[in-house]
Amino acid sequence: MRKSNFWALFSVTIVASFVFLRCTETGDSSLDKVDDVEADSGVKSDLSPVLPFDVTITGDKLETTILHDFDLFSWQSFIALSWSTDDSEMIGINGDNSTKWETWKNAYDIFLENGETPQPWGTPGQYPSSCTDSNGRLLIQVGKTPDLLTASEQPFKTGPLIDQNGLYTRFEIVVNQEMFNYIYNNDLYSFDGQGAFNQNAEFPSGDNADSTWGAIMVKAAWKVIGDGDDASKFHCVEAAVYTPASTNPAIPESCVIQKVGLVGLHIGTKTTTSPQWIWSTFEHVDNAPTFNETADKAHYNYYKKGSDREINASPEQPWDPNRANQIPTQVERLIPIDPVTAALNKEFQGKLRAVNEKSVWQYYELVGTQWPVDPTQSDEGNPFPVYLGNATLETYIQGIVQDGKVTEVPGVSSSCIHCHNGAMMSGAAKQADFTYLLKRAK
Amino acid sequence: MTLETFVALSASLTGYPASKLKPELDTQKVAELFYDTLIEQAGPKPLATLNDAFLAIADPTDHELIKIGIFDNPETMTLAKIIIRMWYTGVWYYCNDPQDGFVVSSKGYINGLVWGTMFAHPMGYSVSHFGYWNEAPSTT
Amino acid sequence: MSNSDTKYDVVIVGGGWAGATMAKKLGVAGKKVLVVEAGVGLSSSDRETYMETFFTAMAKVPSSPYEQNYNAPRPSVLDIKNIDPADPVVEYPENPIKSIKDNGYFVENGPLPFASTNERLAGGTSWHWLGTCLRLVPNDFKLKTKYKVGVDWPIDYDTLSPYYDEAEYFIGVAGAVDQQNGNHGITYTEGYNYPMKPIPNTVLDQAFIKALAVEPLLEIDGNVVEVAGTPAGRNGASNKHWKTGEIYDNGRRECQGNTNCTPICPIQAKYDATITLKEALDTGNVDIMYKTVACDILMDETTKEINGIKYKQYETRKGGQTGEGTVYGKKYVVAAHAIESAKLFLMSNSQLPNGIANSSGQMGKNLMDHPMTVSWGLMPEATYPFRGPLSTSGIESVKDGDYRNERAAYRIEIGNEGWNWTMGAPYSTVNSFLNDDGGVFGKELISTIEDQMTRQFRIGFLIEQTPEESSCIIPSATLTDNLGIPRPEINYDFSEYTMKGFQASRVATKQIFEKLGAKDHSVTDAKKIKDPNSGFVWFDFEGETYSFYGAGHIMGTHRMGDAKETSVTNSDLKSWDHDNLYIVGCGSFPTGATSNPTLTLVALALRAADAMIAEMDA
Repeated sequence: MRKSNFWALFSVTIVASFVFLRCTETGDSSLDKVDDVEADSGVKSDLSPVLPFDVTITGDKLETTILHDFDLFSWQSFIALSWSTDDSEMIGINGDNSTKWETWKNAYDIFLENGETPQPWGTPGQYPSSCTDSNGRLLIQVGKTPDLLTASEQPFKTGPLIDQNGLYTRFEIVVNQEMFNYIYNNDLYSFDGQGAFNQNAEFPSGDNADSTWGAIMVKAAWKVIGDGDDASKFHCVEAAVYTPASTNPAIPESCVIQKVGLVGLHIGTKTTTSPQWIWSTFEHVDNAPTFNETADKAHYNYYKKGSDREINASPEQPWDPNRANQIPTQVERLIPIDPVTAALNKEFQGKLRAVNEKSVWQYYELVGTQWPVDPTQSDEGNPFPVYLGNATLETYIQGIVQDGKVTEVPGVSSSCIHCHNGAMMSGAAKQADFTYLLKRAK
Repeated sequence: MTLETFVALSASLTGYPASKLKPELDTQKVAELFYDTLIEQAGPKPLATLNDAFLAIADPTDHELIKIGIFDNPETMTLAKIIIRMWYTGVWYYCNDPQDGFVVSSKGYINGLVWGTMFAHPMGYSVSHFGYWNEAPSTT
Repeated sequence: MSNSDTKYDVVIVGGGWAGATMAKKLGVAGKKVLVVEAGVGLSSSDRETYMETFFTAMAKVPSSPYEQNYNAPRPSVLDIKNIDPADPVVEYPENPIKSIKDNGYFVENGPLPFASTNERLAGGTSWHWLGTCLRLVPNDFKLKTKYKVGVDWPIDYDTLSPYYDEAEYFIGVAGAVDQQNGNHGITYTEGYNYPMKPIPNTVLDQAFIKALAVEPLLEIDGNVVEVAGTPAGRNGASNKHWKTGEIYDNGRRECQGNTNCTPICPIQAKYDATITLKEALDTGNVDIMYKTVACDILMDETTKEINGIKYKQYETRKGGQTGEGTVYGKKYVVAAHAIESAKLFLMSNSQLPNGIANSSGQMGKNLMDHPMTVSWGLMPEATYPFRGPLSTSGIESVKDGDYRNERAAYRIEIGNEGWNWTMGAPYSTVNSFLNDDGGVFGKELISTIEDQMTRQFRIGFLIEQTPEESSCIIPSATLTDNLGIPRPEINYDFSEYTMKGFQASRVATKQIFEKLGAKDHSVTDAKKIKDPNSGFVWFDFEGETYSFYGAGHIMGTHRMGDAKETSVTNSDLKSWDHDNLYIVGCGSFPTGATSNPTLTLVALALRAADAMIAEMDA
């Protein structure tokens, strides 16, 4: 597979000269104004804009050292993906920054109506007509091409996630160039193309020895920044929040440009060590408390203290983002963050803070990393940890609470690999190599 | 009985190596689950008898020695069979009753050895993909 | 409150197969609907909860994931036993929970036990259906005309055919026209195709196909025995729509072959009515009341129209009644399941002594199932059971023919779960390997399992049961559930015609097993069957003893027909007696045929919804 030379293969010590205030107080419309503020010069950090190719395993204990190796891979990936497209701009040096992954190809731009051929890599994203004026220009032109958020429900019709302001959380999926090229070159963007391909998909793998990147997909969850949200604590963008037309429930097509803050991020990376992919999942630190632990924060994105609402219950229907007076989802994390992971979170949050005390990136935490322990043992490769879920992306399948205790249920409660192992193509009864994206082909 | 002895005994009884029952990189920790169940359910006396009988066997990989010393030994056979059935089905059968017992846990159920031994998967828990059943499984 | 001042166009009793189907179609058409569901409601943790209960259940029977609810109880196959008049069961009228716990929900009067079960919760029995979506064959609709048996249906195949098309998309069926087309006259709309490609068949199916292709071909009563893939409401690879070209995608996952359609699909690759119920709620026109048990239907004495349905409510499965009330709609649908619906009408006898909608006297009568012969054995070579959906193929080529003048028809289902159903494999098998004849362990146990269990298989004959007035359900006069609502009392028997179907199935088993080169392990010895510890239910017929199983296909209790004297509803499923009442579900079937009934039930419900909408819009 062709190597990505998208990012320079250098690191590390970067001197920043601008503060680029992307996210300020709520309601501030000066979002994309660049303030020429002199920052401290000579910020030193071992944070790197270079994506790791694959995990480097140094340990031999599953629950501690190997877990640490994979978590380190996750954090390095997160840092590199959240880095500005300008590698010389240290992550978070300006508080917030636009990210690399947001320049990747949106699923909406790959799987087109009638299975049309997508635009090649590097072409600006297409937007639904309701996001554009009669000349095809975006309704509101902002500093950068906005993220296009097309989904308002969690997978397999499990329901939407509603924040404390009664607004739906929105989702998007993007893929890197390696993954896009594989889809593009093999015509997997269309139903008929998949039918002609008629074999199991096999995306390229990241490999340390060959210094190649493999397929990477990123799924992001965003909340609209509103009352009670401290915008300076989120990675924010102005996004095209798109609601496709639906007949049931009856929802008109709409597109609004809104300021949204990142609350959840999945990174799926296919590598040589992990043909079932490495699944890294991050969340905003204020999303929700962990079950049976003290909810000690003043404000949560998806939890209200003292509320007697049932936890992790999907909202009442109809599921219509335009409905008035939506009842917020009361979320608690049922699968606690591993202590090894929590320690690494502290370490990386410290590094991010060291770059800039106001870095928005310090407000994210790794929830966990799942990988196949014995890739050849079965199609699933014996994943560990057995269960892993993101409170914003798998809210309703985190396990069940019985007699005050959390029980995870084999095959049903959230496991990235167990679920994605079932992913198939749309145009052929062939495996999609752990991505449900190919199911979108028309 | 120690966990280590339990695993060695289980290997002799089930026919699967200790490295399968308690792998080095153990995501499921089934051996611990079944060991805890054994300690909780088996009376101290039958457990001690089985422990002593097993430790007295010179070569636990010798099928005949295990047969004489444990499996056919009236002092130990009931508990030995309960242990085998627990490993194979995830169920603890009281006194090796044909039916009366309890499922140790959902984890115990999905890790029952019988399913893999017949090249299948636990009912309700497949780790394979659409259409796999259209071809015979790999039996090597 | 009355019909005229309610906001609801339609009140539907029951949120299962039929109720959800009607609710969605009516809701989409803009009608205001209220669904009254007796059981517990939908929750986002349902599947996790039910799977955990299933995993930890000792007996993994159809009801095992779903906790008994004493305020809306359901039967369990664990409670089914032969009825011995000399040894009647002990009931506790004052203690319904104990009584139901000890004896099961059904009060069985015999002579035979009713061997099928259903669920009472939102989504109904669809939680544990197999997924089979076979159409009836044309002659199934005219059994009387053609074979002088039973009664004819008031509609024929061609009338129902477009609704079959609709139902197959409604459910999401994976199948192929050429698997079924021409099978005893089944035809499809020109150009029609199923929404999804057929589910691949299993290694066992392939072994059947291979063995049955060897000349001379096996013929039974004039039909060549052939294997056909079974259309199923399970997700497979998509097709383009036969008219619009749109690619079918219902947003759920493909089948991963969990071999667990019954009692529960862990990943909802199998359609269930909760999907439709949620879609109904998404219309914004449908409201639902859970844990609300309808207990009395009221009628306007002048117009004879239904004018309210009384209900009782509860909060927990074991707690007592917590509320009551009456719901009103302009029209009413009772879709509470064949047994519960009939019971409800018969219970509602304060204004009409024979009960509501029962001028024909047919309410609760003609209770039918597809009683089953299950035969099991070992194949000559490994065919690897416990892999793939529970059943992917069947033998449909034998289900019609002149023999129906003499004996009941059957279809044959090929099972992919070894001896699980009949003998409780793998548990029982491991037990017998360990304990029989001294037993084996270690490597010997491994090789025994490898050799034996990989060859286990079973087939099931779904036998047509004729409608008989003597097979009926009535509300118990003395025994109630925990809300004080009568339990169903069941009188049940097979006609000689049906028993002859059993007889034929035994002959066919021999012929098929011989053709397969398989060793028969089915229990046919009278003594073994009748051993009270065997767990079999059975009957004697012409010197032989037959064990039988229920298929869970409960039909006939509110049959439709051409005349109000002999049927409960017309073919639109509208009551002959009450102009604003529809009665929907498998209870509508005049005869049972041999195909699993769900697809036909949904097609009929869709047709009834059209009739209601047309009436309201007129």
